[in-house]
Amino acid sequence: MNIKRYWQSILIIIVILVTISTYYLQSSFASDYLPQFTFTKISGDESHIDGITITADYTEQSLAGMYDRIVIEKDHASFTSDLSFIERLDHYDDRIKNYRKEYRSFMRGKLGIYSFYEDEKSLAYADVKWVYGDYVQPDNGSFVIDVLDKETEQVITSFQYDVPNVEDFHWVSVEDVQLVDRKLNITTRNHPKNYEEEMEIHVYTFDLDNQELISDQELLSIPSTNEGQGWTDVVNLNETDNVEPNNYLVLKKMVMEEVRVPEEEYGEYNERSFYEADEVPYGMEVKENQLFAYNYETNEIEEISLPEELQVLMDAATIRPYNDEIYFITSSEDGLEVTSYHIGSQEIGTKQTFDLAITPELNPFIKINNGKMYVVATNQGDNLQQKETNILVTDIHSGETLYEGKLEIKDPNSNQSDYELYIYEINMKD
Amino acid sequence: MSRYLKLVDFEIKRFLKIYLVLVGVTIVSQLLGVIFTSKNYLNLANEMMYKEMLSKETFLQQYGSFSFLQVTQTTWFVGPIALCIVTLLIYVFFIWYRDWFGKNTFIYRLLMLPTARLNVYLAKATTIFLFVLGLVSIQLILLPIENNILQLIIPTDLRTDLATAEIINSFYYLAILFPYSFTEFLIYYGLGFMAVFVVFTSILFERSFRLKGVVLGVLYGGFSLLILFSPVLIDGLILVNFFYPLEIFLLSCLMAVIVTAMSIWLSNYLLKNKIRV
Amino acid sequence: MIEVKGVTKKFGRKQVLKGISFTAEKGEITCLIGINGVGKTTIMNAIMALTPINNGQILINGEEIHKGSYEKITFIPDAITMLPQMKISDAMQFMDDFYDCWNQKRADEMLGFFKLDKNERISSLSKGNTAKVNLLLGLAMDVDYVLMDEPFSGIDIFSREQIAEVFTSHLIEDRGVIITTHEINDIEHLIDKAILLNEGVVLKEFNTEEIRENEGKSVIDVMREVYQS
Repeated sequence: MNIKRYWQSILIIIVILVTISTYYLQSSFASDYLPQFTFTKISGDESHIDGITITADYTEQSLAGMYDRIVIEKDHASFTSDLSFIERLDHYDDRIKNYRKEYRSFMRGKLGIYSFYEDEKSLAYADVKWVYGDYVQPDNGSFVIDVLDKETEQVITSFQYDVPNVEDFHWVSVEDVQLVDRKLNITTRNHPKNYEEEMEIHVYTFDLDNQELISDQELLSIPSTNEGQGWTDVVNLNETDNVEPNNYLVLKKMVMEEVRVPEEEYGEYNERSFYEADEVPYGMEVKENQLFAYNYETNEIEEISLPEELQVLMDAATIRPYNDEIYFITSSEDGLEVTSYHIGSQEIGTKQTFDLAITPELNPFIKINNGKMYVVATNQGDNLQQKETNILVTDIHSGETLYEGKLEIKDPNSNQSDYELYIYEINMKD
Repeated sequence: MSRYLKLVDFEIKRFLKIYLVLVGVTIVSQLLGVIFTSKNYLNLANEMMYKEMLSKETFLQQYGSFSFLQVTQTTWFVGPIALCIVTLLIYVFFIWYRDWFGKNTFIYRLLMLPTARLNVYLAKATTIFLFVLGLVSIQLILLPIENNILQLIIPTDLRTDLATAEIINSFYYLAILFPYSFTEFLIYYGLGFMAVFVVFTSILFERSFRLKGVVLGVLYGGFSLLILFSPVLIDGLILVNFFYPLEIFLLSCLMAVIVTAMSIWLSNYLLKNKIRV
Repeated sequence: MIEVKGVTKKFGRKQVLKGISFTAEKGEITCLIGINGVGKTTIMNAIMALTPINNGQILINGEEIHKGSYEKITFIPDAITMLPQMKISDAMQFMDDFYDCWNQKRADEMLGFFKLDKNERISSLSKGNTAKVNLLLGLAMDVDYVLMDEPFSGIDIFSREQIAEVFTSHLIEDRGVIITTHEINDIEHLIDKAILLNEGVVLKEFNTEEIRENEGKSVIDVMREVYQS
């Protein structure tokens, strides 16, 4: 057969094969051009950051503000765009992913780390399932409760229970799940249909053996406010993505008043374009600040009356409950100050001060886990030539600095001050 | 050489002239686009620096450096791509209907070839695939060339250099044409080719049953979509979140294979038993 | 032998073929006669599986048509089945590429006989020459059966004469031919078998020679009897 007659078609096929394979072979090496992230030790023991994962958005100015999600680990950083297609499909919380691997059939239909509770023996799940009739307003909502015995991998409890007075609420969302002696406490945020109230915080307590609702406690309720009158918010200071046992649920109720931001400060406010949930929103001034502790064991709530020296820190400090303590963390030029407050005895416990190599512009990211406090502080204003991200690991009880280090970024493509790193999560892998 | 391959070659040659025109328009328009956009920027830079006496730093601060991203957003660049896409979309239909209409009813010849009629169907589909992939390849070859032309025109300190992959991934429409990983490339284009098979089958429904066939063809298209998305629909409506992402993905792949196989099987049946000249 | 057995065909509500049956033998010229619109072309299309039938059966040498059949039987429709932009030589090359039964020697011979220039494009051919190329493409195949749809319609007198000449040549000789026409005059003396159709039914099927010898009637005489009664 005369091949020459078919040269056009053969040429097209060759061009396609060569070009496309070259392109995709080349781009599989493209990760060589991505920035490199390394932790450099300043002091302490590097083993303390073994399981750390920092999730952040990375932006390079040269790329027209495009950002890429990045997960930084001790000796590895992975860009979302650099993950394989299959890895990107599975974009869930690491703990959810691990549960799925371990308890494959139990985890079907279960999402949202806030719905989980895990201790040595069991993995509990509770969420509200809505039934829609007319696709606008839910007709009915019920708690779905499943408890797994981790050892036998048997579902020991599984039932549904209608949300009491469900017709009063637009929506009920689960914030925390705690298991105490076969009693399951489900903390929810309810949005009532009536106009007097904005929101209610409830704890529903179930007796797992009898599959019965023991109590429906309304911990706090927030009245509706009209525009211009300011507003009230309740912040759950317990990290909602926590699955570990907690003794207390600590709530912060803030009554806010609108204040006009002086015009000359507009710029400043715009620059600080993000804030943590427990910080004061701009243009608002806190009128009232209260802390409440709910004891999961006794099912009692009490207002915490803080000593004056902690009360003044309420606005500025990062507040983290951990076990029976509440930690107040502030950073200033003098360093990082950590003060603990014991809920039971209502007394100030330890006071610790750490030197930070930099003065962070914003409150550092703080995570307390397994008796250690992880602090990630960044300093990266536009005008700074030297952008820095520091990591500090301390022992929460002794106040000892376990590790201090710097996160260094080397980008083969651009100069060192061309990037921005927005950190928004720190997690510890076991 | 098999009659299928000869048919592919034959179908390619039938459209080759228009195809080469498309390729030519793309090359010329994009090259002109690079040159014009770069020159414009350079003129602006000269004007600002020499007439307005701005320093280079101030100019860069105010106007930013020049990168290929400024080229990709222009009609010079996107226009021919859109033209190629639209032309090939129309050709998906035209590749069949041209054989029925006009004085010379070539469909007689095609249906009377001593080969399975499915080969005609497959050859037409293959031709579309090759044309699509051919244009995609031409664009991949053009990008680095255009990038080099830009670098010839704009001096180093006024530009930000981007690699081909960066150019592609920083522009949404290009990132669809050239997915980030090869797996996605296979998925995107696999889905596209599945769609071509489905449309071909719908066309054959119309050609077999005419007016009634239009209804059947549309129903078939809808049915195919339903099958393709059935794992997602089941996971969203019936067994909420029951499937894990990888399972949904694998089930969807399976459904795509089923839809493709069903289209080919149905087309084979229609061509053998129901087709009309 | 081509056997058409009880074939019915509907277009929408209109019944075009109402149970047609006839046979065509190898070595004979069978002519389907009838005014326009009685379904002659539909029968041809049905034999070639170019249109589905509702009922009945069509057998070629005892088999239903399949892909291999197209090396044994060919159909020359009233319009040319090649692309207008093709040269005659391209069209012949196409046939050579796809058909094992293509006979290039015979094609060249017919090219000479018809005085055609193989570098001419199909789109620029006259009506008569187009019909000749169409005929050439069909007859240059070494097939057992040739179906021709109105080979004489709408072309000039000289082309008609040339085409008629083909029928008496070795090009037809031992093949089976089915031809349709609504004007019998040109080929009356050529045909072996006549099938008179009206409104989707076979009115009469007869051997022209037998009828001439036994009853002394021409095809046109029989037609007059059948259609005017």
